[in-house]
Amino acid sequence: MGLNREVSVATGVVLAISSWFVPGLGFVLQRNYWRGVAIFLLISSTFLIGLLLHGTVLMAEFHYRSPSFNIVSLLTFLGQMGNGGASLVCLAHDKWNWGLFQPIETDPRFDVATLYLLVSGCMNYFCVCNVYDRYVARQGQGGTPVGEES
Amino acid sequence: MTAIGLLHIGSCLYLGLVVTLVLGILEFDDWRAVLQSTARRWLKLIGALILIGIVVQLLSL
Repeated sequence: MGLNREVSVATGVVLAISSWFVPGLGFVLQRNYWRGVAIFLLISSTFLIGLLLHGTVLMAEFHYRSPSFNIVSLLTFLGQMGNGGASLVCLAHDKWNWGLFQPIETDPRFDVATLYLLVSGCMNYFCVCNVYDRYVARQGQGGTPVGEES
Repeated sequence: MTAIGLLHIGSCLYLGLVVTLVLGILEFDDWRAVLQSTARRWLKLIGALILIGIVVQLLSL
């Protein structure tokens, strides 16, 4: 099912960035369609459920001297940013108030919704690293990409 | 309150499935291996969570 294609480091970086922006896009660009579509559906549906539970990606406080600085919310933000395109849409939505969805921080489901967004982002970090590793790093070592032996 | 509890339990099952399925998809090339690894990992994860739940329940008696 997979294709063993050698790519340059620059192309690998482009694939990784595109995978960060849209989950699974790096695989699709390498014609590994089933893997790319499956990753996209899983990660995007998880993110969508998080939004439907009234969650959103909240910008963290980066100034450690600020009273509102919180290491947990900072790490949560970094994790959620793993799903790049969707997280940037959420941040833009909060900034310009587009009214597409309604995040409610006081809703009892907000914490669970944050967890959905966090899992979505963190799993996409795995996918981004896997794209680069599969198409650049392992081939640079002369090995066959994992899962692409056929 | 019950609905929120059920939401947490359902989320645990679903998110565990997503994590194990993504790992399986990244690791294996054919669907049978993906499904087998997903089932194995998911059952281990849920089993461990049930065990932790039982221990917490016993310690809180």
